[in-house]
Amino acid sequence: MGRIWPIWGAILFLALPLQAADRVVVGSKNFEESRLLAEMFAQLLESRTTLQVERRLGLAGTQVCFEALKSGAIDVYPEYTGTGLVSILGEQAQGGPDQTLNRVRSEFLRRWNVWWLAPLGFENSWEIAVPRELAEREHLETITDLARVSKSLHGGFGHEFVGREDGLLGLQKTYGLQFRSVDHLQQAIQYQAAKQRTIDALDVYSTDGRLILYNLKVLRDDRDFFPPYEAAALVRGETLKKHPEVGAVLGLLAGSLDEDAMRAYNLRLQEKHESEVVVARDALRAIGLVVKEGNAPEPVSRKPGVLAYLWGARRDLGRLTLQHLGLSAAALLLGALFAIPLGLWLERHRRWAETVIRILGLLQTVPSLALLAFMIPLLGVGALPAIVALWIYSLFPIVRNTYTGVRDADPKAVEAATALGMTPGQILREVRLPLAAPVVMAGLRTAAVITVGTATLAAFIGAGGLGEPIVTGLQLADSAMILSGAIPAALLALVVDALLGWVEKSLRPAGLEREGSA
Amino acid sequence: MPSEPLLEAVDVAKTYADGTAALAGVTLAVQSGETVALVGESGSGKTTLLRTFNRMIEPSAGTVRIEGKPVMDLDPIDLRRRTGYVPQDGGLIPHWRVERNVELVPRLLGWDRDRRKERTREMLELVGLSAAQAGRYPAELSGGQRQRVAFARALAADPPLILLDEPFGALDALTRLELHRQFLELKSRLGKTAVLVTHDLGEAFRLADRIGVMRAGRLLQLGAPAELADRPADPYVSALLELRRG
Repeated sequence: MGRIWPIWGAILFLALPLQAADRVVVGSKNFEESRLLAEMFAQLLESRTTLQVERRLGLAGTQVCFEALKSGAIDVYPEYTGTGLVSILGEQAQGGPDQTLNRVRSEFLRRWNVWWLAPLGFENSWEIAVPRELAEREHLETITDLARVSKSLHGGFGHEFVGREDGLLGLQKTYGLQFRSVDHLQQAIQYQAAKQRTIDALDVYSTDGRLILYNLKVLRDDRDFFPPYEAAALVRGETLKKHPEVGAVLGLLAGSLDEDAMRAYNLRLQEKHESEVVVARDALRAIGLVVKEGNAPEPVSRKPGVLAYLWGARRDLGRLTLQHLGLSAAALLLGALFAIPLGLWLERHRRWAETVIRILGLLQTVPSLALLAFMIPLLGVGALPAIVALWIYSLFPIVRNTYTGVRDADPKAVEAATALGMTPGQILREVRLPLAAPVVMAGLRTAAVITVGTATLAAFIGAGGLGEPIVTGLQLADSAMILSGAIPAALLALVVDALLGWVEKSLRPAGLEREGSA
Repeated sequence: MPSEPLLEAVDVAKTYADGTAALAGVTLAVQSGETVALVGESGSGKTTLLRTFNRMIEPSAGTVRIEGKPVMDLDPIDLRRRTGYVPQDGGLIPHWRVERNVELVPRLLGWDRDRRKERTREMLELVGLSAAQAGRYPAELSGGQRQRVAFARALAADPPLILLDEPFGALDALTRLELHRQFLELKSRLGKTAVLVTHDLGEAFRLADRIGVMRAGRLLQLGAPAELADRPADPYVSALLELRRG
């Protein structure tokens, strides 16, 4: 116990929302463009204000980011007006960019005191693209042009796009599109398929760098079917009140980026695996908002092989491993402190046992990402919600093993102990619990492996750990980076399992070893 | 005038929640110093009756008295600490060494260390176990040795009454005979009152002063072995004795 305290203390420290007055937290979603914009915000704030800037990049999607913003876990993140209208407000898309911006501005202010700053100058909306060579041959400029020839074409669309009213379904109605066939494809595969001409039309995001790489032409949405997705900084009103300079400085970016520039930057991130730190610096330079050298963290080179990468990133990985262990250890310790007494209590109140264990078993089946997302409105982002989520996962194996281990402990010995006048409490402490110790320990061991494994997902809500390179690597399709998180995480699980296996063995009460051979 | 019985059961009945009657009103008295065997096939109620004596089972009706006091008026924990108990398989606590198992009840009664040590040594000697075996774990002993430890444990706090639930049932024939011999020796030396549950009529004839034959929750006959043999009170008892002779 004593040796765990330093880790525990560190965890508590990490988990506490640091309310330093001169601090601003920049968040982003978990894709390249969002990270790039957030990094630009961060670098700009670092160079033009005295605020201490903290980055919480790669949060899992709109809901996570927006909840984090509302709860004050982050102060600012890049968002798109269409997303604000459709996903956050739940309204139908209608009207042009200005109408959409005005609508989200007024509603966000009224409901949450959250501010949309002036748009950055580009849209990243859903679009339909076709291979440039096809566009030229068939003189395709707009989606209306596409509808003219669609009967002879093969469409290949993302799973999400196909199923949505504001995706393919609505598009077909609005333009009278009828493809010869429609395939449901993963985004990465769509581009390949278009290159090989297996498909002739696909849904894309307008600033995707791969549009350049795969030589695709975006068709104009001449009937304004897709809602406008203008990028802008979304900021908490309280932050602006406390630090008006945040609004002033980020305002410098208004109208400064266009689709062509963003496609080029995204291409560098997606295909050339450059760090967003470097690309952000270049982007700010290009706009003329030069950032002082040395302010931003040094970029990590991303091209070498896995081993070289691991070696190069060893210091970072060491820190992430410690963080990972800290999260897991805290969750497991809390799990044991709660679940072992609960298991013992259930043994004495058996009519509750089945219900309680079943409920915990059900909690176990909640997908980890969903559980993490549920935590955000309650606990914000960072270590605390991650620990709570991991703690929930640790309960089932510990409670179940404690309960059954104690319940099933040598019934004959328990019977004799009762008949000779031991009290139920004495039997629990002196007979059942020691005999159940290896079973309880096996439950703890299972919980530990689950916890260490699931802790990789904590990175989605900004809690760090070895999931960080995995999450980032997934967005960048950088397998060396993914492996630099996955390999240590797997090793860690093995080591923890072996270590606890040894503890389990040493906890086996003397006198039980030879039972089988006696 | 006969002395007051040490153990007395009056109209003891046990009906479970599902309606099955394990005991349908049993009356018997056990005199101080005598060994009474309860025989019968499984399901006859003999073990249920035994377990009402130390309140491991509470009867649905009737009274059990020990030394004249109804057991219902006693604290069950106290009662059990003052009543010896030997189950079929020893029921030793597997992660405790032999000596710790033997001193279980003295420890519960709060005896000091020296007294416990002395008593444990004495008891092990009594049942014929060496000092070396005192430090072993139950799993390191033979079945017969484990059963001897169980006897030592039951006797350690010197209880007036000992309840034995098929204590020789799991032993091989030779070991069983050896333990029978030892039981008789202890019986004559210590003069304890004992109730012995067994399904082995031969064992009952060999060890008991009186035998109670049970069937379907009733006590058909209770008497000395010779009495049973000469004047069986029930066709089932005569059939049982026929079987034994046959």
